Order: sequence, then C-alpha cells, then structure tokens
Amino acid sequence: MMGFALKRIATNLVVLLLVSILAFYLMALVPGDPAAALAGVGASAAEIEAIRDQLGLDRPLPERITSWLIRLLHGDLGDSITLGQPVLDIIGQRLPATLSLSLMAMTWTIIFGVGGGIVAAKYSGTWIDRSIMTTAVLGVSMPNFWLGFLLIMIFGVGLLWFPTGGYVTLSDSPSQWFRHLLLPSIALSFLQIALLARMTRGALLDVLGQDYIHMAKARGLTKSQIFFKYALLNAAIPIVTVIGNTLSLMLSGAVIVESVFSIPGIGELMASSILSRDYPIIQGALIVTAAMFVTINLLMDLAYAWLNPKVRYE
Amino acid sequence: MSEVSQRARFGQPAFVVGLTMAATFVLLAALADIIAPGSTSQIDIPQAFQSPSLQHLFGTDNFGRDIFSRVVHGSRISLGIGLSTVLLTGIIGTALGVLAGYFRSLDGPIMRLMDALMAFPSIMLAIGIAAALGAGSISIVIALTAVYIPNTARIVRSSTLLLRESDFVLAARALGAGHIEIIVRHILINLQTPLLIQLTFVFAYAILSESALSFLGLGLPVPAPSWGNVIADGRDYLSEAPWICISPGVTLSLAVLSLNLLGDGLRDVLDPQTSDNSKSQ
Repeated sequence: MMGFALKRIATNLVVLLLVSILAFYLMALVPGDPAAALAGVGASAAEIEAIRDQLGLDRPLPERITSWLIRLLHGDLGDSITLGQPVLDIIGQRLPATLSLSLMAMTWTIIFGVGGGIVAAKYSGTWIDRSIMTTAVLGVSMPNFWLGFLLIMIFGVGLLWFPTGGYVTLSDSPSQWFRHLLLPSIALSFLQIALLARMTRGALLDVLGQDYIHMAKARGLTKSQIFFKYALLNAAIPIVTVIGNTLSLMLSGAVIVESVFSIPGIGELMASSILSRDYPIIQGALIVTAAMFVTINLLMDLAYAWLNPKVRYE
Repeated sequence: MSEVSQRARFGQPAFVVGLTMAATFVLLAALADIIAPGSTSQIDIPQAFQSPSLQHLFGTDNFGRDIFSRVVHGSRISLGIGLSTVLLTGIIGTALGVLAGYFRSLDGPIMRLMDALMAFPSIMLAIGIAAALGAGSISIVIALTAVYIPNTARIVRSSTLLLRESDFVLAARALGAGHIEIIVRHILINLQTPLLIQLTFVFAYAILSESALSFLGLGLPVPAPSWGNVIADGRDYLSEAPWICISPGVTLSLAVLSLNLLGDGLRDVLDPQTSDNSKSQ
C-alpha cells in the first residue's frame, strides 16, 4: 500500500508540473506582444515596458519557466493586472461562493442521481424506468446556461419565487444563501444528475445479472433483500468513482452558471477576466482548479486502493 | 452483419429516432438558403421584439433580425465547428492513443500529458486556449479539440493494448510484418467501432461547449449566428422577449439529443458487450 501510495503521489506531482507548464504556455500563446495586448489600446511605450518588466517577458523562455515554477512553489501566482491584488488572494475571496454552489449541486446530484438510478433499475423496463431515462437523456443534451435562463424565466421572472441572481454569504443569512443558490445549483446539477442516474442504473443492472444474485434468489431471499443487500452494495464502487469525477465537471459548469446568475465565484471571475484580458487571473484560476482536481483524484485513488486491494497490483 | 442490421432495425427505436433527427439537421444545414432565404444579419429596428408569428416563426430579436433564419443558418456554423472538432480530435486522439498503446516506451510520456490536459476542468481549458488565441472559429476548434483529445486517446490506447496482444497481430508479427503494417492493417481497422461511438459523443459535447464559449463571449464574433450566439443574444431580455433564447435553445438541445441517441444506439448495436454495462435505454 505504501509503495502504491508513493507511486500515485509521484505520478500526480508530474501531472501538476505539466499542468503549470501548460498554463504558462497559454500566456505565451497570446498572439503579438502580450505586454502591448495587456496594456490596452493607446498605452504609452513606457507603460508597455513596465508590464513587460513586471511579467519578465524580456527574459529567455527557459529562465521564465523556471522562475515561474519557483514562484508557484512559494504560492505566488502573480498579481492581477486590472485589480492590482495578488491573484491568490482574489481567488481565495471567490472560493466560498464557488464551493457553496458546487457542494449544493453535488448534494442534488447524489440524492437525485443515485436515487433516480436506483428507482429506474428497480422498475427496469416499466414506464417509470423509461420516463426517468428519457429525462436523463434530455438532461445531457441541454446547455446549462440555457437551462439557467429557463429557470430564471419561470421561477425568477414569472413566478417571482426566487431571486434571478446574486449571492448572499451563509454567515449573513442562511435562508437567503439557500434561496440565491437553489436555481443555480439546479442548473449546474441537472446534467450531472442525468449522467449519474444512467451510470447507477447501468451498474445495478450489471450486478443484478451476476451469478451470486441468482444464488441469492435460489436461497429464497426476497426481491428487496437482494436489491438492497447485495446489488446496491456491489454497485457502490463504480458509483462512488463517478461521484468523485463529478466534482471536476461541477467546477467546469460553475464558470457558466455563475455568469448566468451573477454569483461572485471563481467561474464568474474567470469569465469576466476574459473580457478584461487579465491573463494572470485566467492562469491562476486554471492552476488552482486543476490542483484541486488532481488532489481530489489522488485521494479518491488512495481510498479506492485501500478499499479494494486488487487495484494496488495493477 | 445481418444480425447487426436486425438489431439496428428492430431493437433500437432510439437509434432510429437519433439517426432521423441527425439527418434532418444535416438537411437543414445543407438547404439553409432555401429554407430561410432571408438575411441573418439585416438590422430592422421597427421590427424588433416581435413575438413568434407566421411571418417570423421564432419571432425577432432586439435588432429586428428574424430568429428562424439565424437558427437555420446557424446550423451550418454549429455543426461545422462540431464536425471540424470531431475530425481533428479523431486524427490526433487516434494517433496519440495508438502510439501510446503500441509503443510501450511512449506510453508514460503521452498519457501523463493527457492526464495533465484532463486535470483542467474542460470548459476552463477551452476558455484559456480560446482567450489566448482570440475569437474565431479556428481557435474554438483548437480549444475544443484540446479538451476532447485526452478521452479519445485513452479509449484508443486501451483498445490498442488489447489488439496488440491479439492472435491475429501475433500471427502477422510471426509472418514478419513490420510495425507500420501491423498498425495500419490490423490495429487502425479494428479501432473503427470504439472510435465511431466516442466521436459521436464528442460531436454532441462540441456543440454544447461551442454554445457555452459563445455565451461567455469567446465564440465567433457577434453578428455570426452560431446557436450559442443566438441564445446569448436573448440573455438581457429574458422577461420581455423570452422567445429570443427559447427556440434556439430547443433547436440546439434537439441537435445534441439526436447525437446522444445516435451514440447510445451505435453502442447498443455495434458493441453489445459494453452496452450491457451501461444500459441507457
């Protein structure tokens, strides 16, 4: 187990290194002179030179990569061009909103995704199964920002049940926090619920076809005993794996959904930084989210290997 | 083959529905000039904010442009970007996957790079690339391709790993076939099924992601009627003119739905083994 853990940690460190180099190169991809692009139209030569100097653009590439990596190791993601503050501080301020939204969406995903999949598998082949699976395939076909628009039109503008956007922190008012996040979290989780329901149903039906299920039937166990005691437990591993991957998809979707509902999270920050061409923020947001994702994946891998010894020897 | 076509015809209503819908969208794109002869960008302020009517099937937007024409012509842009992404992803993803799966020494470096690409939340990576390259259809296609290559390469790699140990490859090698001959004649040919299924889903995702990029202002420059742009045009008028974004959104969702049904159906028809694991009907 120790060896396996060290190997996984080493692999993930390599991935993180590649992630930071890729993020660095994105900056280098900007066509033309990045300093001039960042300074904006009508900037004086001195202003452009100041930015060039600040970003170290006049030094050779290998040196720039090395110093960029060293700064990263010190937790320095550079300063925002438009706000002047350190990128890491800005991201830190935005993190709670994104985490609130993602966790609420995660909650719906687990409850309705796993729940929907279980119900569909329990009643497989009936109209209940078919309507859940039809909803699920519709769910994976809708853009989440459009779903957000629909929710705003129906529940925000039409029925006036919920605010159409904005964010209130949990400590300020838990009820307002919930009211502001409900529609966005539905828009964000719908696709994930659909994916997880399909996955859960598939895993359950797969297990229900196994020999030991037939054995359990032959031993005279009732249908629900078999379903909940044997099938569900054995289908749990693939389901939990998918739930782990969901978090990355959540962060991805949050960029869009936060913009739709004007929630001041990392996604909205990134979307607004595109328009202001604030590349250090885009770069920083990319690295922070990727690092979060790699860490979660590593923890999932280790937990998985701990639960299932077979994995360690693959 | 006859068994396959039997399954396709009788066992898979979703596949047939998906295929019919997809064919309709291809026709829509091909015949756009005949179906909607009007202009897509003609500004006509007195006609602005007309709700749907016989004259304007989907209504008009804030500039008085006919939304139906924009959606019909937009199918060319959205499907075109989707198809370009599929082709580029297919070529690069297959090449990387085959190299990683066939030549064991390349496996580590290639797959770690794929892991690194996959570590970025997908839309964020696309945003980063599209923001760096600037707006335009080529940068969107490059950004989306970068997002979908890793998964495609993984699937191709795992199929290649199985194929290179298969009896017919071992036999070909024993008969003196070189690497290139084995890859071209025995491996690539047998990758068709998993690739076809994967690329159908890539097509669906690409259309969705293109619309998301357009919504964020990273899509095609605004007058171009890509579906994402047309939907995004309605965001400021959700209460006064909800139709601006409703019908383009429905159209886009139907196109993605057709590809998802087609992908599910192809998997059930061509690859019954995996479809048993992930029944999606």
